Amino acid sequence: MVEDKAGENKSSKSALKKEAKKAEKAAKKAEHKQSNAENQPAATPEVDVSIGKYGNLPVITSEKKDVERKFTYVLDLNKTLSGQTVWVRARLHTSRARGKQCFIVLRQREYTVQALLNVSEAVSKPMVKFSSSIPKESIVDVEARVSEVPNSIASCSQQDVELIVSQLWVVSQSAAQLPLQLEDASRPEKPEDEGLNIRVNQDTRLDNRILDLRTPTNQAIYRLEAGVCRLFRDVLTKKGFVEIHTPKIISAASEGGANVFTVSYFKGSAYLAQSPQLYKQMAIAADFDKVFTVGAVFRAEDSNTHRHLTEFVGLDLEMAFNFHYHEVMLTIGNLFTEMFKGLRDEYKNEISIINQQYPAEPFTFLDPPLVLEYDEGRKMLAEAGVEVGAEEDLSTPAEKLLGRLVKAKFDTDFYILDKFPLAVRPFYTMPDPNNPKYSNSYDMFMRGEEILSGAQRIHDPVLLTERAKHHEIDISKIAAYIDAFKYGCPPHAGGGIGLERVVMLYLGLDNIRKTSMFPRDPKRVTP
Amino acid sequence: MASQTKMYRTSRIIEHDLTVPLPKCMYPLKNIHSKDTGKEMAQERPDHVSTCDRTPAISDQVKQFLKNNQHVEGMADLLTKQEKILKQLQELRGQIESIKVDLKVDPTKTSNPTLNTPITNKQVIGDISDIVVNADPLYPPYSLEIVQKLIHNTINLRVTCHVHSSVSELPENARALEETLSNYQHEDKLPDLHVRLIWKNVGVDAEFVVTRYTLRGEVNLLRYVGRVVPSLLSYDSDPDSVEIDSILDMCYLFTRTKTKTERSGYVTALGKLLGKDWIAHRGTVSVADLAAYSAVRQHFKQNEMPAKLTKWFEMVGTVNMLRHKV
Repeated sequence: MVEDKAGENKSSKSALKKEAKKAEKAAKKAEHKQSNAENQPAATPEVDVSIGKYGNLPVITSEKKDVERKFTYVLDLNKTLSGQTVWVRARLHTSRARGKQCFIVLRQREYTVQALLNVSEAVSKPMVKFSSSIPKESIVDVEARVSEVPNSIASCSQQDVELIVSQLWVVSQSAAQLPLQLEDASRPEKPEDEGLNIRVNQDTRLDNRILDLRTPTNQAIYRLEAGVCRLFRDVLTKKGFVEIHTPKIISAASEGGANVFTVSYFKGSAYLAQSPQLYKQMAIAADFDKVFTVGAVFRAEDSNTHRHLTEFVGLDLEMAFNFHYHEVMLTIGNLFTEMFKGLRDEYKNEISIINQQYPAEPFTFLDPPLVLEYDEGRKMLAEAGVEVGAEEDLSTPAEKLLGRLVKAKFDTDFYILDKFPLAVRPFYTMPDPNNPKYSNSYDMFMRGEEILSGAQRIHDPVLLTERAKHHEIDISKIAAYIDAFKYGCPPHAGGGIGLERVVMLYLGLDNIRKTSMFPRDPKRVTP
Repeated sequence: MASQTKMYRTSRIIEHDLTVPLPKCMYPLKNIHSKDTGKEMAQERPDHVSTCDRTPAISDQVKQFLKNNQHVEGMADLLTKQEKILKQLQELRGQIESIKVDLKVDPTKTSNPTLNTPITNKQVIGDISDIVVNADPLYPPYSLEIVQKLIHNTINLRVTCHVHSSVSELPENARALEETLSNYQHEDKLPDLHVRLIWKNVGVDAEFVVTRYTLRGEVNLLRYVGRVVPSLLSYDSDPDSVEIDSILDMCYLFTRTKTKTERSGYVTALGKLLGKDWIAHRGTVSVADLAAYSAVRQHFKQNEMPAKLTKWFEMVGTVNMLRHKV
């Protein structure tokens, strides 16, 4: 064994290389001797001592119920198991045969461990040969002894042990040719990276998403995404919210008619929901008090940008309040703080794995979150030389600049901008009673990009009709919406976020397709 | 290092008037730089440098002159002329006073801002409407608590607190300070100065961001507040300004001490300066007291307070809220 022969601990790379060379020579010598020794008895037919210890397993058809092998997770392989014999089911990540040895890296999600086959009394030459011929990405069952290594193995996640293989079975074989190499797909994206610079482009990744998703980074991204969803549910449930499910097939466009998908619905046609807004509000009018929903949202926008998808997961909430819509705004702000805290504390490992491939500054936030008024934001922009009119919306570059200014001054990647101009908000937004130019509405930003847009909704049918007329909206088309408030409705406010966008911005990724498992955009509906 | 450091004393860099031994192996040349390149000049000052002759001081000369000319004619005229000018000035003053009355300006008040004049004009603090202070929860900026009390009838120091994501849990003393600062009762009529106190892992030096630049150190924050808010905290025209500056510097160094012995050196020095009757002698609490108060409180628990500083510490901590005078 290389590591055993290495003897003393030497940490420098060159020393390691030297050691490896020495070991190789020694191995060759040994091989030579052995072959000489073998040759001498001459022509005795070679008996495979390892028969019954390697091969292809028949397809598991759930024939037997009893547990044959107790598997150990790769994650749990460490020094404490040293000397014990374990069974591991994992993917064959890489294999490298060298003389009478074969090094295999076994992978289980983001965890990897080195396994070693060495021709010996128990392991025959054909077994080593077999092991080196198993295609990458096949699933194998391995019986092995856990052995401590003197020099830590830098290329694996389990660095202080290796497995000395005694049995090797292929459970499910992969095709020999892979459309993309996992090493290439998980290579860090560093600008001044020397050495190998092979990367897999986005479309190849998405076409072969199953393979691409096997990279440690993707494993971590979707684990974290699940975390965002779970934290959203947990935090809101603790605050007394009720989860509701709203229909996705609707009869009329909820937010304007332009960017909506039409589907044939028996003899007529229907639309795919752009947002659960109306149904959330109806739940409030139906006395649910605080509601949230997690579900698919569809937008027929033909925009091929880094941050638009035609289908995404919407996390929406709506809440009745007593006196001031800030009750809701601060609840949402607090929801974000709690989610960020949860991610920071519970997903450290995932975040660090993702950062290795896609380096980004850690996400910063304040508790309680920073709330700026629209005018303050405008003032900050004006100081930096960008004038935004009092009744004008923020353009995307202005938004980003403001994000940078806020980050420089307060060191937070998350903030709330309150009191948007009434003119730039939808008709159902409640105007500010103190200043008719402004409205009771707010946007929330992560890393300078808008992630949530919310407001106090008008819950009075008369005022709502008046505002709709002011916006020149055909009242007959929104009659159902206005009718929802006819029988009394508590004052309420809310907002919604896109799961993929939040994860993308939290991790500082550059493309929303990296956080959507099977993304849908104007040019892609497969896989 | 722990002793009092005076500022702005620099060592001499260039020594003039050195006698340079002239080589004798060369021909002497005329001094071309001198205006009168006379022979005597060149001989008298071969090194081209002239020293100031010791002449009697001007005042001595004037005295001498007056002594000699006591009974000179025209002196009486000069005196009457002077009296006339003074009288004219007095009249001018009277006129201005009457104009003031016409304009309904209180003639007894002068335009110089005094410490106790409440400022009702937002212009006083200029465009600065908010300051961001990043402080480490392990080193809470206790001085803010006293600043808030001290300037309470000039400016409302409104403090809102946030916890930065680099801090996972807020220690008790930081939380206590946060509560005192944010629950302070303000008067409505006064201008506001918003301070956002962000608990963040910044280490011993609190940072503060006014516009776009980050400045470091609690003492510098106090210096800044002193400049922005005309109050007791400003010390530019203070007779003890040099001492105050050096105490501030000392506090800065004190906060970054690592060992007990280092610390005790500063405590002794501060004790010498502040312990005895610094406040009594000055009659007021100064910015130096605030800085030292905060530094001492950050490094010592209540019961571990050095004996020399206990009395002074209590005096600063319980600064009278109604009057600046202690």
